[in-house]
Amino acid sequence: MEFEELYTAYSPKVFRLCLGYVNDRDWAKDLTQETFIQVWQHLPKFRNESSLGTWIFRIASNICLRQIDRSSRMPKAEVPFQVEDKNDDHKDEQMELLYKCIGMLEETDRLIISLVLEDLPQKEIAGITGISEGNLRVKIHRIKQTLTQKFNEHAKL
Amino acid sequence: MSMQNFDGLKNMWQQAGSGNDLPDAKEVLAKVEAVRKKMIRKNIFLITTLALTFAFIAWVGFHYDFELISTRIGIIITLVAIVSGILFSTKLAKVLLKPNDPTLSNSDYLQQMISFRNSMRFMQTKGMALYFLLLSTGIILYMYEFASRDLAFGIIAYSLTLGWIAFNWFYLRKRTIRKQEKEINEQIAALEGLNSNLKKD
Repeated sequence: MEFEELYTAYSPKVFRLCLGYVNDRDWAKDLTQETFIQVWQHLPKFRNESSLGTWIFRIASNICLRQIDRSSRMPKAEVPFQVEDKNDDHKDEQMELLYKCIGMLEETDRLIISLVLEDLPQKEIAGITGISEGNLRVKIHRIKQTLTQKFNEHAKL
Repeated sequence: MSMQNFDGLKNMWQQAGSGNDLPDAKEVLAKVEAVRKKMIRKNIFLITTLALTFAFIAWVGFHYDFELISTRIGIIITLVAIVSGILFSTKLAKVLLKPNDPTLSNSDYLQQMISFRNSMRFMQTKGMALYFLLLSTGIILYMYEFASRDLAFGIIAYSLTLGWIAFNWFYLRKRTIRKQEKEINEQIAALEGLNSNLKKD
């Protein structure tokens, strides 16, 4: 696959993952770029052991984790401001709330849930994160519940 | 807003675009090229600096006529100390130890970052001790030729120099190490926190 094709196909997904992690659009944009610079540099080493998407997500999530150099710890998002319940067309607001709720999770949980939201199979998520599938299943179940609950709590406000 | 279950959130997530936030592929490729060029320039700069320094050491060591061989050795040791000090505190340490394989799994990557910091800590403390030792030895050897000509001058010059070295060794070095250790320890603690969150149920 040509780099341009690959970028077009995966950059929005990588951007979502990064945005869920850092909760800042400019920062997430930088991280997306950084990810694809690394993708380009390591592409010759890609050996088809996993799918290309999984491989790119692995790089992206590591780039996110590396942000610990930039601030000693990623601040958890503040409790989201009240999102007004004007009507259900406000997709942007809902989306914003979703990102904020993800931002309230632990750093590593943010990455895991973003991968789940991308519909990656658990086996691949286990390969990206390096944790066992059994352990992951328990974790995912817990994070899903926490996230859904947080979202609905704040959406009601 | 209506109540959402997890699948609702998933739908929302997958439908969200990235807005106009992302540059197009050409822009990213241009950046890739810029990064590559910068790396080449950096390497050229590093190699040139090294070559010039060695030429300079050789020139100083062999150009002047000193009476004692200790003077020459002193100069060489001092310069070697300074150059390695600069290299290790800036570029070389990163080049040698940098964890640069983002294709590992998250848990291996975190582990790699932790061991990188442990090696950094080792290098900063042991490397700095070696730097001070070399620098002091170099200066003491270099001074000998001039100090030995006059006993009184020699005593004064050596006490001042040794006093300065002691101040650096016992005060400045300790303080710098404390500061760096604190920073690195905090980073390690943060990374270990991430790693244990990743592993726990």
